Amino acid sequence: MNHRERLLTALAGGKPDRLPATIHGWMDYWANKYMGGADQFEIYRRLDMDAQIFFFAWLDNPPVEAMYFTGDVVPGPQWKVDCQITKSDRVSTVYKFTIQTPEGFLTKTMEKNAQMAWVTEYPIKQKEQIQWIRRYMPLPRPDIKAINQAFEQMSDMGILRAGIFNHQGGCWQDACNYVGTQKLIMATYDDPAWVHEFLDIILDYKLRFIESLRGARIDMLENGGGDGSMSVVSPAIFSAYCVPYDCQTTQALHEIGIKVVYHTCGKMMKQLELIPQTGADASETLTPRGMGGDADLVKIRQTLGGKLALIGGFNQKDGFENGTPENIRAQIQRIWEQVGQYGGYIMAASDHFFEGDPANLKTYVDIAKEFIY
Amino acid sequence: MLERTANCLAKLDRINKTLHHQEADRVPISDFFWGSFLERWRLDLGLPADCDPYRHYDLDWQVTTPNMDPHVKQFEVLKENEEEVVVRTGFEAIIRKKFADPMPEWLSFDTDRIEKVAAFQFEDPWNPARYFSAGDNQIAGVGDGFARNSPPWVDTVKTLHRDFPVYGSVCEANEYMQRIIGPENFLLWIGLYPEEMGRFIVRANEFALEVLKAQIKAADGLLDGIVIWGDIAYKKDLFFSPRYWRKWYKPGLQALVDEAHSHNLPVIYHGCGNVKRVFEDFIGLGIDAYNPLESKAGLDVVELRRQYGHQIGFCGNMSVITWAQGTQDEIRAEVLTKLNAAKGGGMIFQSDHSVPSNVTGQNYEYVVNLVRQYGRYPLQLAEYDLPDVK
Repeated sequence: MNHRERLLTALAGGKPDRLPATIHGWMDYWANKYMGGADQFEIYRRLDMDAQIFFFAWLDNPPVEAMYFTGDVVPGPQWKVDCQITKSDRVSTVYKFTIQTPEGFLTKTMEKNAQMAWVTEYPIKQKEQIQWIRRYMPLPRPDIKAINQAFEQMSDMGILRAGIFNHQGGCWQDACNYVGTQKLIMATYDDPAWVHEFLDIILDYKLRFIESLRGARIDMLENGGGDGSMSVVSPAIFSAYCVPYDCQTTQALHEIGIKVVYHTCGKMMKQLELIPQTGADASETLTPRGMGGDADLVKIRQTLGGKLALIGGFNQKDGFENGTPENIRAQIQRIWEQVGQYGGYIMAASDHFFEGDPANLKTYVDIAKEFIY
Repeated sequence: MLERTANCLAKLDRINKTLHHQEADRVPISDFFWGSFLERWRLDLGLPADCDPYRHYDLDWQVTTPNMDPHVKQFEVLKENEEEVVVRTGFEAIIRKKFADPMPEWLSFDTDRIEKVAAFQFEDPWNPARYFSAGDNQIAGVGDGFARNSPPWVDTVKTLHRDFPVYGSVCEANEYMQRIIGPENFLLWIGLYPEEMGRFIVRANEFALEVLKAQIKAADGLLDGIVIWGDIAYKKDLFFSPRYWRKWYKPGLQALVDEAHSHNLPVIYHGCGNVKRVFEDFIGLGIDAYNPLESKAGLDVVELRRQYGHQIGFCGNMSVITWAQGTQDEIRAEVLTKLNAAKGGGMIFQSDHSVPSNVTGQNYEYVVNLVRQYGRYPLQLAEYDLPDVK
C-alpha cells in the first residue's frame, strides 16, 4: 500500500498493510528550527511518513499575513478591517484589529511570537454584537483551484486535511474565540438562549462555507476543538452546546463527500459516549496524560472502535522531544497492543509540538513499519 | 493583655504541642466553612440562624484576615440588584458576585498588559486602616459570600481572643498575582516575561512582609500564629516550574516565615493543589504545618508522614468528597486511617480545603464526633491502626 491507501483504509475502519504513522501537522517554528524551513510536502518526503497535508487557500485575504486566518479579520463591503502593530519586541508582536461595521466598531487584539499566535482581546463584548457578525461579516471565498493543485501535488503521500472555517472546526470553539472561553461558559448559565442564538449564527456561516467547498478535493475536515474537550467543559455543556451544531456541519460535509475528524485535544474520557453523536468519521487526538489529556486507549477502542476511526495517542514530548529508540519503540508497542492491532487506527502525535529531534521522528516512522497486520 | 478562658488556654496548649510534634490530650480540630455549608448545617441540625460551628463544637483555632488589598478603598459598585453585584476592588479587579452561586466570577483586571505590571503600585502596608478601621476588602468580602464594610480586624482578633487561639494571616505573592492580573495572563506572562513577572513577585512579597510586620504590631501580642495564604498549585502540579518558584517566590516566603518565627509565632502555610515537587522545600523553609493537603490533588497525609516523618506538621487532608458522598462507614475509614498521621503529634484535623455545601450537617457532626472519640492520645484506631506510621 502507498501512504494514501494506508491512511484511507484505516479511516474506513480497516486494517492496512501496517501501522499507519503520522503527526498532526508541522508548526512553522519546528520546521524552521529543525528542518531549515522546509515545507510540509518536503518534510513528509524526507521522513517517508504517512502524510496528513494541512492545506487551504483563499481568494480573499486578511490585511496581515502570518496570523491565523479567521473570518473576522478578512475585509468585506460592510466589514472594514484595520490592523495596527501596537508592540513589537524580542518577545512578541501585538496586532490590534479594528473592524468597522455599519452599526459600530469591534476591536480584537492578537499576540504572536515565534511559536504561535493567540487572542488577548476578544471582539464580541456586548451581546448584540453577534448580530453584526450575522449581518456583515464576510465569508471569504476558497481558492478551489489552488486546493486541488495541492491535492495533485500530494499525490499518494497521504490525505489532504483542513479545518471547517472559521477559527477551528466546532461552532462552540468558534464562539469561544469570539467571546472568550470563560465568558461563554458563564453565559451558558446566565443566558443559554443567547449562546444558542450565537451558535446558530456560527452554524449558518459554517454551512455556507461548506457549501462553497463543492469541487474541492479535500479528504477530511476537522470539526470540534479543544474548547469542547473535557479539560474545558463538562459533558453536559458538550452535549447541549457542541453536539447539536457540530453534527449538522458533519452531515453537510458528508453530503459533499468529505470525511470529518472530531478534534478534542485535552481530556476526552468523559465525552466518549457523546463523540459518535457528532457523526464524525474519526476521533482525535487521544491525548495521553503526559500531554495534558486523559486518554485510556483500551477504553477508547472499546467505546469508539468500529464506530469511528481513531487518530493520535502518541506522546510527542516523550517520543520526539525526549525520545530514545528504546522508549519510542516501547510506546509504539504499547499503542499497538492497546489499539493499533485492531485496525481503524492511525498512530499520530497527540496534537502539535514545537520541539522534537528529526532523528526521533525518523525512528518513529521506521519502527512503525515493523508493525504489520 | 486581654484575659483568656481556661478552655482557650487548653486549646492553645493543644495546638502548640501539636505543632511541636508532641502528643497533647487529643488531636486538635478546626476547619474553614463555606457560607452555604453553614446555612445547610444550621438547617440540617435545626440550629439557630446565628449558630457558629467554632463555638458549637468548641473548635481549636481560628484564622483572621486584615485588609491586605493592594489599595485600601471602598468597593466601586458597578452594578447591583437582588441577584448579583459587580464591583471593582482594591486589587483593581472587576468581580461579579452572583449571590446564589458559591464562587464569584472574575470579569476583568485593570492590569491587563505587561506594561502595567511595572506601573502597579502597592499602597502603604502600614496604613492603620488595614488593621483598625472597618471597610471593604476583597479577601474578606468577595468569596463564597459577599460582605461590605468588614469590621476592624483588630476588633475581630480581640473578640475571638478570649475563647480561641487566633492566627493572623498574610497573602504571599501568588495570591496577589492571581487577583491583580488574573490566572490566564499571569500564566502566559511568566512564560513570555519571566524576569518582569519575577520582579513583580518580589515586589508583592516585599509588600506582604510589611503587611505581616504591621499586623503583628497592630495585634500587640494577641496573635497565636500566622497563616500564609499562597496557592501555587492545581490538581496535578505547580502552576510553574519548581525552578521558577525557587528563584522568585521562595526567598520572599522565607522572609515571611522568618519574620513570624522571630515573634515566636508558628506558621501554617495554606497552599492548594499538588505541591509534591516542592514539599521538601517547605520543610526547609521551616513551615510548622502545611494546609490543606488536598486529597483531591492526590496528597495523602499518611504517605507524607511515612515519607517525611515529623519534619513538618500537617493541617488538613480529610477528603470532603468522602464527607459529601461516602457512607458513614467510608467516612469512618477515612478519618481513622488518616488519624494515623497524628501519632506523635504534628497534625491538626481539618478538611482537605474547606467544608462545602454538599456535606450534610449530620455528616460533619459525625466527623467531629469521630475525632473527639478516636482522637484522644494515645490513639486507639482499632482496625485502622497502621503500626508502621509513627
